[in-house]
Amino acid sequence: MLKNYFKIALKVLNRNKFFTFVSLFGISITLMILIVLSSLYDSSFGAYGPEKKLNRMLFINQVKFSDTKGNHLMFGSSSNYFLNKTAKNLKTPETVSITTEFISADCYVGDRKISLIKRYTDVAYWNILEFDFLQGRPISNLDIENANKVAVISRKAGLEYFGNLSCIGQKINIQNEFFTVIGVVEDVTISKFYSFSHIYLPYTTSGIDYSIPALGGNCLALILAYSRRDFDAIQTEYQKITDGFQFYDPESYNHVNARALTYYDSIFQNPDDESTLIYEKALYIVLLLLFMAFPAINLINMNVTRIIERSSEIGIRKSFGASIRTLMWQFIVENVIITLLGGILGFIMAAIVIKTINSSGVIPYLILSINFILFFYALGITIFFGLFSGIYPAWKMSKLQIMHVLKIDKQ
Amino acid sequence: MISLKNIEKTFQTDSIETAALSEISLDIKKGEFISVMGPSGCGKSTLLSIIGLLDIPTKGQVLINNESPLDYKDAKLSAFRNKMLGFVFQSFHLINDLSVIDNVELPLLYRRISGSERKQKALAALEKVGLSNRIDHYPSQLSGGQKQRVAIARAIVGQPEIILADEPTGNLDSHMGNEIMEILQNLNETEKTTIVMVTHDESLARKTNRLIRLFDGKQVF
Repeated sequence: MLKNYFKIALKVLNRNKFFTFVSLFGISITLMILIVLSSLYDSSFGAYGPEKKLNRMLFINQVKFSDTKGNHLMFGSSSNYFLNKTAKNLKTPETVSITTEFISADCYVGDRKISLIKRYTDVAYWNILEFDFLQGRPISNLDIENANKVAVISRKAGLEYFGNLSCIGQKINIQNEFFTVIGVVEDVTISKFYSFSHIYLPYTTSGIDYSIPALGGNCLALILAYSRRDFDAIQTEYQKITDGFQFYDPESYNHVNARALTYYDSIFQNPDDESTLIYEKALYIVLLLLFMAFPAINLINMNVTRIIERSSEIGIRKSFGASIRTLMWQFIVENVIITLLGGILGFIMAAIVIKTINSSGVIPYLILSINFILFFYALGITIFFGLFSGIYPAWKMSKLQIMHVLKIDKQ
Repeated sequence: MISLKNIEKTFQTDSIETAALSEISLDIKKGEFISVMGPSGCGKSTLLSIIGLLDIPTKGQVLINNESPLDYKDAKLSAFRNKMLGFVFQSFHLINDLSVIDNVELPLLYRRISGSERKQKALAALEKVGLSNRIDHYPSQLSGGQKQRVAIARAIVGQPEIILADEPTGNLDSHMGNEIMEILQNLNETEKTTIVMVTHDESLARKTNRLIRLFDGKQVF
């Protein structure tokens, strides 16, 4: 039976080449986009690069300070002082790091200017994130305590500044200050918001007096939990700490809204309104489903048209004993075959696109790949298309009057 | 074998109700070869489709082997049709995308039998109609007479007790028509298959056991 369905499906594909082209095009393009997008999502939000422990990490990046009278409002990254007084006092997590956002840094080789990115870090930063060291070592406690002018640089910075990666012990001129290179790490893609930079420096060399009780700043906290199960406890503990935060000037600011969030939430959060996150997520899911529904609707439409073309065959099969259920299965199997073919094409196209993205350097240092989980998701989606787009036409088909369709079709 | 009791069939369009059949009562015995004649539009094909369980009468009852299959649900009705009935249509109704052998195998696809047995039975049926040398051809490569022989092979492959033929020679020249008629007669005589044939051809009708004439949806004698 299946062999017969398969034969018919291939014949149908071959007979109506335009239908085949439009169906396969719709399915394969959609799947290709889905796979590439998922791959981009995976490489940005997945536990890759230095962020291998991402599944155990929470982040504090956006903080809102206000006063009860509503006269003052400050929103954005917070100061090292604030995070030091709050996040660093957390007891539940394994460790907490404070780092800055990435900042542009002009470096000079003689008269030549090279525009790079820097960020200031503490020692915990190197314990939480797992950088791939090509040379040397990370920033140490001693470097922090002594405010040593040392730098860990990326492969790109090494190649652009020194022309090679054997630059340990050499000096790099960052905004007219000289730092000694102590380590060289593999490049990190910019989509890895918390680990990307070209130059990493001890935070004590920034020249900022961290004892000043500033609220706003350019700092972020990375929290490493022992396990994901601790997230709720950490978030509750952090809430308690921020509720008790002592404001230096309560007349100006006396209320803080800061939350320790997962990676995804920390990127897409609206700290003002927790519920927005749920709506945003729901919106993404709806958009994704709509996106996936387009080729399915297209297939349904095509299949309903195809029924008229194949009504004679349906009539013949019914008159020789095919039940409605059997005929529905035939249509569904045919559709699954078409969608699987579209799926295979989609995979091939996605692989080509991903290879092109990787080699083009559109997103620096980003290496996309199709992983097995994605492969099975996409396969599931493909079969879903096949089933979904076969059921309605099959149901419609079952309503056809046998004699009527046989009479109108005079060969 | 087949018993029709007070069959009526009306077709309802927007405002007009057309009576296609009225008060048809008929008994057909096992092994009979019956022809149904009448002018175009008199209800011959409607009668055949009701006997073939492809259409439901507005009133009346259809009994086959004392069963009332139209009361069955779709799956049981389909299985009954598959086992009991074989159809031969005027315009052949072969599936163009399938080869001759695959077309003949079609009724067996809906039974629990192996692929090799299916093929064996299909070959035997094609042998009976003299087309065993064309099994890998496609319908488009056959003449009208050959197509109708394939259609007959498909109708008999499942060894149904009843063959319903709707103007089986209507699209063929007289020579081909006679050949097809011979096959049907042979089937009736050797296999004792009950055959109900709609025809416009008086000479063919005379070759059958009994002739039923319809006029304006009624049985005239």
